[in-house]
Amino acid sequence: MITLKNVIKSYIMGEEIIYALNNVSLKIDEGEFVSIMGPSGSGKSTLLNIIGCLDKPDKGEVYIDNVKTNDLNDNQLTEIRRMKIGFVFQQFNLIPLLSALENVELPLIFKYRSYMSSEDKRKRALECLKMAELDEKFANHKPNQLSGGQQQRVAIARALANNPPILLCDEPTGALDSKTGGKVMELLKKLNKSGKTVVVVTHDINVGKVADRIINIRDGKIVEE
Amino acid sequence: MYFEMAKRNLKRHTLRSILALLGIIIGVMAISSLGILGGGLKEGISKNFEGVANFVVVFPNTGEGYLHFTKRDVDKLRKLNCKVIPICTKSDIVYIKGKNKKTYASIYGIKKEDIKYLNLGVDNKLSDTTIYIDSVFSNLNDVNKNDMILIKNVSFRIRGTYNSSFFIISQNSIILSQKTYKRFYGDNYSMVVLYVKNKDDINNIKNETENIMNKKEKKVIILSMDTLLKSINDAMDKLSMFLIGIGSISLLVAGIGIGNVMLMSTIERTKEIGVMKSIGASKRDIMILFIYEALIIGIIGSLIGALMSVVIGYLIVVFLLKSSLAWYCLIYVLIGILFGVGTSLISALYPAYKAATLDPIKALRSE
Repeated sequence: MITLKNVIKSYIMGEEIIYALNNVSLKIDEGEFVSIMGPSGSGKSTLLNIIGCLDKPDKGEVYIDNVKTNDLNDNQLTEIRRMKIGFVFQQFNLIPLLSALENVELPLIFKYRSYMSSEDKRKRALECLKMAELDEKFANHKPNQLSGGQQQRVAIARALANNPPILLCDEPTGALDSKTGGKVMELLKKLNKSGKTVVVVTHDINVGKVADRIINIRDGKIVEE
Repeated sequence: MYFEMAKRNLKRHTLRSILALLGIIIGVMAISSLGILGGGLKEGISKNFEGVANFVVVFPNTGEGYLHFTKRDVDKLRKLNCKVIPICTKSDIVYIKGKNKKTYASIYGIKKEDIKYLNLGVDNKLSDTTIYIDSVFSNLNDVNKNDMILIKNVSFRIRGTYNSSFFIISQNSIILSQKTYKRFYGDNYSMVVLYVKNKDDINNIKNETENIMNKKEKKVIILSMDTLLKSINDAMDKLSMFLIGIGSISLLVAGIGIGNVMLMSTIERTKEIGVMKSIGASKRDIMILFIYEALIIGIIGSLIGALMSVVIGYLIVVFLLKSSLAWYCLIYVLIGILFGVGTSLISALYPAYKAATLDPIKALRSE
């Protein structure tokens, strides 16, 4: 499902070249639940961004669902993000102006524009909220009227909207207390069981343990699996 | 949804949006009402020339010693395919009956049946014992309809008053029937007016007149009003353009205002833009979102500005210029709307482009 071959990504900071990713190769199969763990600055976020087609490697090859993404242009990468990838962020990153339901509809709008009727979009968004186990009565609440856990559920529902095979989660429990975080991880586990490939970036070992496989990364290199 | 989002984004900063809106309103108002003002000026001036555009006036070339037209000259002109109106004129002393006052006036002899072509606004029922006087003569001598005037010791009743028409009938003048005129002053014509029904034929008629009269020597001078009218209209159009240009400056300022607001909005919403990109928004989606915001300001502002400019333009034209608002002046309102919407669109392009091309990773990282 996800394959990286000898990926190098570097930044220039002052006069120094810093390797965020130094010759990283990995393979994640369909239906896997993988945690990428490492201290901050280890390159785990960069890795997630490259998998998520938000960033391009300097060298090496990246395959998402057998599509080589190195050579794609901006619009093609946007297309991959729409079709294959759902993002979940630490800070939830909901659009504050939109209700929970509208936030979930947004990816559908970007993907389908008017090819999908607004009723169908609404229906699909409600479905996703249900999948993310958020009570329907919160559908019309604005993000600031929801608790952190609820907001993260809306964000997960939004990630599910276009029915992508891959969920990429960047510290999904980082802004939640451990109990709520645990529940969010349970939800991700459930989604993984239903067939999604889930990749979680975290530095919290309790979160990492939920995964089937843990990839440890340090100074831009995978140190152990 | 884009529209809905744009609307909510504008509502998020109500005061800022209202200020941007105000800029566009004022700009559109300036353009449209200055345009209407120019149009009103033009309308007012061309009104004074109304009805003379169809005339070609032929004068004897006094520089070559030709002082009058003879009956033969007039007959030659009758071959032309237009209405030929021979006019006699002379200055003479007239007496105001009952006031024991004498005064000078230009006296015109025009055939009774020709008067109607001159658009003088009189009843066109002149008889051999009545006259028309122009408003200047009427004011100077304090005489009015039905007062009596003595010319060559014959009394005439005033049948009506006209406004002297530019170029043909001068001010402080009296119109007699041509028959009466000839009895007093003889058979000589000081000008011939050619009434051309279709303005497009004016040049033909001028050329033919040239051929008939000026073949051997330059016997006559030929004037037509259409060229004069055209240059006046051109000048007025240029004035309108100039006024609109002044108005455009305020719209330019408004545009810069909108650009500034949008740019601030882009910076504030950097993270949001990053999120939208990561969940599948293309450059185009982000552009559209920002352009919608500018368009909402542009369209609402332009419509309000247009409405206000119609009111203001109407007040200026009707009360200040004492002219009437011509329908075609609404084109300036249309221009105002077009410029207003266009300005907001153009000023949103750069901020929208900037937002659309943000690096999603940097955008996501920003707070």
